[in-house]
Amino acid sequence: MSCYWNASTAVSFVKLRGICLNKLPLTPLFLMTVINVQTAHVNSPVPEEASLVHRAKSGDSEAFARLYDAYIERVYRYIYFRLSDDDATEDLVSQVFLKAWENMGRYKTGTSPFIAWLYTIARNLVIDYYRAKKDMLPLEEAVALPSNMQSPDEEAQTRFDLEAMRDALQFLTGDQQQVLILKFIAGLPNENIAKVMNKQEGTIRGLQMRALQMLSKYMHEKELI
Amino acid sequence: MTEFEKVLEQCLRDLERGAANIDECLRRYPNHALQLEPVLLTAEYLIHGREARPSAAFKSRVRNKVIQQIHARPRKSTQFNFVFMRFAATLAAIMLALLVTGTVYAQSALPGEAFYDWKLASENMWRAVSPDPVGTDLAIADRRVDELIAVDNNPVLHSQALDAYLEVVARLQSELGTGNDARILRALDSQIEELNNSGILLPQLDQPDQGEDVLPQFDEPTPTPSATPALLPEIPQVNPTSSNPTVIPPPTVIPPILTEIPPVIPTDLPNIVPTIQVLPEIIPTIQITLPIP
Repeated sequence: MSCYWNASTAVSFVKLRGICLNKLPLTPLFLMTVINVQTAHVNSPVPEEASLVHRAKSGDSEAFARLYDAYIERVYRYIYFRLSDDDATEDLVSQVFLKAWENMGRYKTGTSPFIAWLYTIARNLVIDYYRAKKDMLPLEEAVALPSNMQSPDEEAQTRFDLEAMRDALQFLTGDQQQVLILKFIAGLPNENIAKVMNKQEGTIRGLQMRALQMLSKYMHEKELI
Repeated sequence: MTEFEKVLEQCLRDLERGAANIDECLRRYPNHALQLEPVLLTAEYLIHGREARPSAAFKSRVRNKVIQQIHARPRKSTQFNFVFMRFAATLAAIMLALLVTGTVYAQSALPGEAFYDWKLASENMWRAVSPDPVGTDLAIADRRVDELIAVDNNPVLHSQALDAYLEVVARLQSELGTGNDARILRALDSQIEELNNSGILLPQLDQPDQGEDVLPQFDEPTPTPSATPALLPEIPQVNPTSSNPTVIPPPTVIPPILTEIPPVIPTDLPNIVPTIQVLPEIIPTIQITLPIP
């Protein structure tokens, strides 16, 4: 199996399971570009968010539908990396928005971003899911991840990479998974992660360090990096 | 926080801000470079997770599901709820303030005044929640006495106040025998005295049960026996204003009466020898049974 190159972003993915190692040194320019672009994309607030939230609180379903369109991808990503089951992922994503609709009155505008509130709901639903399920589904049951890549080859490779990342994250504890997903995939600042996880900011920093070290060790042991 | 953790946190912050890249971080901290590199690569690796996106079909499917559920369960406007709750809370606060103020004001009301019934109602409430109902009744009885004195000039109100007082007294009467007798009787005595001092006479109180505990009776005072003049020695009239002062007779010398005490003549004591008379029929006998060998 050959290593995959994403020509559009010049990214060479680190592969898990020893299939494809990172052969391309990550250049400073590349790293800065990727991090800045991704952070800006992930954290950018939705235009007129306050107005939409206000209208949704008043029972305006159209406004809520626009919030759904704005945040569906971020909620999806969080749940996708927390679960190994795509059916459950879909179910939980819909539940997050339904819970949000039912409890819009409880969301206090200005205390934390709306997306952080959605992550809190998602986090609780995932915890409930694992509590009810007790055991995790094997990765093989995961449905193929859809993406918006150009070619089928690229799409397949990305799907494989992301599933490998999902697999690696399952090796961590629930808190470690959450903190890494919220920090590096969702792009939330530590302050908001602390609110979502109901922990002190210092605790979050420590948790991030240990989670990163553990994941790094895991990848190193598997000779993935 | 260890040195390495501080360095790692700084690098992650710089990477996130775009202030540095991995190579720069490694160069900046050569002592930690070996340990730092895999962790930073892992962090960078995780960032690619942001490329995970649901398909259009997924988004559409979930959207329809959510919208359907939303229309099935329309939400009430929280704005209305908020305004209503605020109004209700304000109203409740005003009512509470009026209740407290009115109750405080009513405590000085006299019979016949508008707030007097409020006062009685508040006293009933006080008595109901009080841990010491007897003590409360005694305090209420004191209030009735004050009212009775205050409305003494108005016969109608006086009658009303008297009824109220007697009602409390009857209640206290029923509490006798529960270990509160001393303080009840003491308080009632004090109240009766106060009323008497104010010129208010109480009617005969109900006779309590004939038992160990008896209320003090308002009996007619027992006439003091008058001294019979014949039994008294005649006392000479003393008139201090008289111009002719009475001449005090000189003291009479009472001659001492000396009685001769007869001398005691000792007599010889008889020589008494104690004797024991033993009757033959009461001599005790002891039967000894010897064991058979």
